[in-house]
Amino acid sequence: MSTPLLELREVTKRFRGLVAVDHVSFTVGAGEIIGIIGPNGSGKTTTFSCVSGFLVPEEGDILFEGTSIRGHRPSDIALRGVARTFQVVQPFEDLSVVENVVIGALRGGSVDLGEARDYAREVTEFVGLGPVAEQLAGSLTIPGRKRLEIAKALATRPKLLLLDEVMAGLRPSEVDLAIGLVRAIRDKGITVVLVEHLMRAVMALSERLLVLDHGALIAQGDPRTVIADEAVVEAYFGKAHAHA
Amino acid sequence: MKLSNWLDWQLVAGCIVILVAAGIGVSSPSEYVVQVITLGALYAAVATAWSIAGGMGGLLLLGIISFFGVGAYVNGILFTKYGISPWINLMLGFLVAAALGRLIAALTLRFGLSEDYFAMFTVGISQVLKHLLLNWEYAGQATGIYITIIQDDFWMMSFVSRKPYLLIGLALLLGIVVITYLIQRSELGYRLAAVRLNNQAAEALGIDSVRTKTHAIVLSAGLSGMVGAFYSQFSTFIDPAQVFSLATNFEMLLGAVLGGRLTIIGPLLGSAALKPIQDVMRGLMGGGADALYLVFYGGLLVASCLLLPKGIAQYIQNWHKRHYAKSAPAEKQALAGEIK
Ligand SMILES: Nc1ncnc2c1ncn2[C@@H]1O[C@H](COP(=O)(O)OP(=O)(O)OP(=O)(O)O)[C@@H](O)[C@H]1O
Ligand SMILES: [Mg+2]
Repeated sequence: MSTPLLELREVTKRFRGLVAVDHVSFTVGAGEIIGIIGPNGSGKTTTFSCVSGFLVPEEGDILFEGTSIRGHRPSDIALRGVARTFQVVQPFEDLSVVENVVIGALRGGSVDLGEARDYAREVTEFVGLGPVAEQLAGSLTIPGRKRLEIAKALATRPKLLLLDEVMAGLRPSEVDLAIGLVRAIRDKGITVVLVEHLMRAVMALSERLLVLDHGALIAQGDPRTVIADEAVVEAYFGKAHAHA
Repeated sequence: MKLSNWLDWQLVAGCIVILVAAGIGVSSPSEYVVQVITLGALYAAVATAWSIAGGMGGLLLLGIISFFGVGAYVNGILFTKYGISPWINLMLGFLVAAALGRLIAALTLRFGLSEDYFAMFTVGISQVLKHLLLNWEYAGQATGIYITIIQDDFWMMSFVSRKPYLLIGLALLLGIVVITYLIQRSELGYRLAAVRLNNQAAEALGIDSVRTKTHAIVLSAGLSGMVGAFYSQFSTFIDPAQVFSLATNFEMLLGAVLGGRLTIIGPLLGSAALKPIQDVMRGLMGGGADALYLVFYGGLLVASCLLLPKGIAQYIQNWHKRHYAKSAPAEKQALAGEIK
């Protein structure tokens, strides 16, 4: 078996008493689209933060392309090919949309500025922000900001893209566009892990589904099988429902 | 180079201001005028150098005088003890001050010192250096170092007239203005903007924020050290109280903040506007009233941070935008051109 693109081994992250991520293990193969679901506060964002280096897990290990990245700086992990978006979007508000994307395209300064500008323009068009490329990022609406979040991450030319609730707050028609965008990203050969509450999007996109509850991975596998799983129903709707 | 581009416009305007200052200085019969312009140029040069870290990088590198003072002593010692040319000492002043900046960055950034402590640390370092030099016999202790100039010698940067110093000072300023312009247009300019505007987002995009901030500190420090090295040759006398003076420190910062620390032209204009005020203040308060200056400039610094956070240059930028929006259809602005 070839080494998976990403592997989490018994990853545990605590905030004082609270176990936000509890001995979570899973692998992500190259080319997959994986969905992660779970109730609010179940540790989805914390898992992303551990993988992207913003948090260091107390226990366990995280391997990217077979090498441990646990404890590496976020910028180093990003340059290795792991890009993430933030659930609470993080634009550089005083810069234009395309300049925001240029910053990603610079890959930490290793790419020449002219080249980064060209690539940023291409990515800006790709995510559908072409018409507003020269506007200040701070002036974008919610869907625009979510797209910009994706564009910045994509501009770093990642192998793995972690999308944290990029569809939250979108209208149904915008969700359809976003689903199309994620598919197009995967078609570029980028592996996607997607955290999303919106079941329609999760079911449409995921090839495999992971369920977190109170920090623990309670189910994983084929999306249809997983959502019918008793433990998953229980986590979402409570015990009574599961036995009904 | 297009005047409709804010960065280019600033470079051109900066060059014009410097040329005009050179013209006035060279044609003036008054030694006092020459002296004032030269000093103004040096303050503006440090203010501009500071704006790389303090403006573009958004770092509270408050104790810029440390680097200036170290540079001054590099030339003071090497010139008087070893007869090394000040031209070489400008480079060495850069290197020693840059190394000090590198050290400060290493001590503060990796350990994640919070902003206010970082600011205090940099100010503290300047006073530590002052006390080290006050006790260093070799460097003249409190008596300082005198540089004697007997005859004209270009290689030793020794001139009987004050005018050559004026031109060298303005050339240094011009050089530093050009450097900030080039940084604003470069990949480093983007990295600095990213780190200043959102450190976390910058890291997520592969920008090592510690490395980027270190670059900014090293550049600001090195260039300030270079100016300090020239200052000692120009003033022919340095002592620790003078080249590590906190009053001077805040005068220099005030120029940058008042003028607009996110712009190229701001620190230059701010320092120029401040120079007459400084002279009046010194006249009113007399010599030795360092503590009073400190209160005054500290107050002014806080006031201008609060009331004019983007400085005088903001008004010029607004004018520039309106002016060129009328005469040319929406021109693509370079990075800093978009910074509100
Ligand atoms: N920086 C932090 N400090 C302390 N507690 C935290 C921190 N970040 C998250 N938590 C806690 O850890 C738990 C997991 O949070 P996390 O944000 O990972 O959940 P999530 O699954 O992303 O939830 P949501 O669906 O609401 O985004 C929550 O109980 C949260 O309150
Ligand atoms: Mg979350």
